[in-house]
Amino acid sequence: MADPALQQIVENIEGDLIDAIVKNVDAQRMNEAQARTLAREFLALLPIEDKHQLLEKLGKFSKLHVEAKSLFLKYGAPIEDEERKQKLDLMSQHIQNGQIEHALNVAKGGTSNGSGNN
Amino acid sequence: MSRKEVHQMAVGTTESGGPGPGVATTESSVKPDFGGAGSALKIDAGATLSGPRIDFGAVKATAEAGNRVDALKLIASNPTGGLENNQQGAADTSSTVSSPEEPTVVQQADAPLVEATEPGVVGEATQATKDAVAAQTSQENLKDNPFVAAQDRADATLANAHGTDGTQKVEVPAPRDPATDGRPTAEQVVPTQDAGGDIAEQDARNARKRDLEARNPRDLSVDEIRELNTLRQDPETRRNERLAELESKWAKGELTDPKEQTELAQLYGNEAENIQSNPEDRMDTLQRRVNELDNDLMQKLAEGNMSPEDIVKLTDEMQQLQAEFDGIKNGFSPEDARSMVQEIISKQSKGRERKIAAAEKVQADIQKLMQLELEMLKLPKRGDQLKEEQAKAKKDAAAAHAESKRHKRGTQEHMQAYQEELNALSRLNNINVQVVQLKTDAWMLRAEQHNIESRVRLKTGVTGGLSGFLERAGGMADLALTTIGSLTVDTVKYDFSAY
Repeated sequence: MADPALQQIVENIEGDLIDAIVKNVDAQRMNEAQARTLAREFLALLPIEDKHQLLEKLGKFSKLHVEAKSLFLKYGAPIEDEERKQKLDLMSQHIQNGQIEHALNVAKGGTSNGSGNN
Repeated sequence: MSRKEVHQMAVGTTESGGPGPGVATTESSVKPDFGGAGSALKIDAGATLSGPRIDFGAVKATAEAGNRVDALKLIASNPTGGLENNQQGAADTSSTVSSPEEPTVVQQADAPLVEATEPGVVGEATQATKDAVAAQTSQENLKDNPFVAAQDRADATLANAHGTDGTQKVEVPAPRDPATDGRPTAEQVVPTQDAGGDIAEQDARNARKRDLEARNPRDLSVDEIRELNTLRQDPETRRNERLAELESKWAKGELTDPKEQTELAQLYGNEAENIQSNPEDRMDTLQRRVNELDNDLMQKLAEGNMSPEDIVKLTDEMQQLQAEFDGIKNGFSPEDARSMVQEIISKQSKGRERKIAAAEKVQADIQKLMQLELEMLKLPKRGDQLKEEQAKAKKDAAAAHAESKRHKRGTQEHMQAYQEELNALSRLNNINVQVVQLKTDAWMLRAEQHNIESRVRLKTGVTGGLSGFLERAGGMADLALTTIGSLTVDTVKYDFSAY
C-alpha cells in the first residue's frame, strides 16, 4: 500500500473497528467469539492496495457484519462518490468531444456482469 | 509479516467450537481493565469459558499506541484454542473476497450512500463577490467613488446657480467629510424644503390620477395611459424605477442635468435613511430577501413561467443582496456595504444584453435538466421490474430442470421439460442484456445531466435556490444510479447431465 492517504484511511477504519468491538462487547451486544470472528475476518482483508479494492472489500465485509455497516457508510461513501465523479467527468468529456462510443465504453466498464449463480 | 502468518496467528477457535451464544464468563471475580474507561465487561453467571478472555485493556492500550493491527490481532487470537480449522477459516474468509465477476460497485440496497445536499448552498459567485467587495474597501476606491464626483458637481452647479436666475436658493452642502468618505448624509443632500411640499405633490398626483381614471380609457392617448400606470404604482415602486433610470444614466455618463443629479442624490439620501443601521438587523433583512427571491425564482422556473430577462433580473438582485450581506459580515457598516455594491452594479450594467442572451440558454438547459431528472427517476422502477423477471426466469428454469430429471431420457415428457428449460434460460439471457443496457443508459443520462449542470453553474454563478436545485437534482440522479448499480446479471449454470 504505497498511498499514504489510503494508509491513513485504513488505519482510521481499524481504529473505528476496534472501538466498535470494545463498545459492543461492553454493552453485551456482541460476545467475544463474535468479536474474534469480526477481527479475524477484517485482518484477512489486509493488505489493501488501492481505494477501489478498499471499497469492494469493505462493502462485502459490511454485508456480512452489521457492525461494519457504519464503517462502510463513513469511509466507503466518499470513495464511491469520488469514483463516480471521475467516471462522470470522463464520460462528460467524451460526450462534449462527440465521442459517444468512448463514453459508452466508460459506462459499460462500470457495469460489469454480476456473479454467476448456480 | 505475510498474510499467511497473519491468518495462522489470527485464527482461533471456530464459532462452532467456541463459546456459546451467551457471553463467555468465568467464575472468578476478575474483571478486565479498560485502562481507565470506567466500565468493565459484565459477567453472566452460568456460562462457560473455553479459553482466556480477551484482554480489552491491552487491546485499547495497543490501539492507542498506534498499533491497531496488533490490537485487532489481540482480539482475534485465542492462544489456547490453537489453529483449529485454520484452512476452513481461511477458505471461509477467502470465499467472501471479491470474485472477478462481482459488480465493481458494491452497494447496500437499504443504505443509500448518496444524500441530496441541502439547498441554500452559496455558489462560487459569493466568493468572487466577496473578493470584489473586499477590493473596494481601500481608501483610494472610496475617494474615487463616482457618486462622490457627481455629488461634487451637483454641489458646484447649485452654488453657481444660487440667486442668479431665480432658482430657489439652496444650502450649499458642507465640504466632504473624511469620516463619511464623501458619502452624503440625508441632511447634506436633501434641499431645505417645507414638509408641505411632498403632500402637495401627492395631492396633485392623486387629482391627476382621478381625472385620467374618470375618462373613457378608449379616449386616452398612449402617453396618458402610461402616465396613469405610473400614477397607479405605489410610491416605493415609483421611487425604485426612477432610481434605476437615473443610475443607468449616471453609469453611461449622461447624467448632466443638475436637477436630475440633485434628485439622484436625494434618492440616495432617502435610501441611506431607510437602511437599517444595525448590521445584524440589516443582515437578517438581506437574508430574508434573498430567500424570498430564491423561492420566487425556483417556483417560476418549475412552472416554466419565467423569461430570460426575469432570470437575469432575479439572479442579479440576489447576487447584489448577497454581496451586501457578505460585506456586512466581513465587518463593513450597512451603509458602506451598500455603496460598494452600488459601484459594482454600475460596472455590471453594460453587460446586461449579454446576460439576457446567456439566460435564454440557461433556461433551456434547466428545462432539459428537469426532463433528465424525470428520466433518471423512472429507471429504478424499471430495474425492479427486471429483477422480478430475472427471479421468475431462474425459477422456471430450475423447475423445468427438476422436472426433466424425473423422466426417462428420450421420452416426450423429458423433451418437453428440456424445451421449457431452454426457453426459460433464453428469457433470462434477454433480461440480462436489458439489465446491462439499463445500467449503461443510466450512466449516459447521468453524464449528460452532469454536463448541463456544469454549464449552468458556469453561466449563472449560481447561488442559493438554483444551486440547491442543481444539488438536489444531482443527488437524486446519483441515488438512482446507485440503485441501478446494484442490479446484477444473473446466470444459471447449465447442467447437461440430465439430457
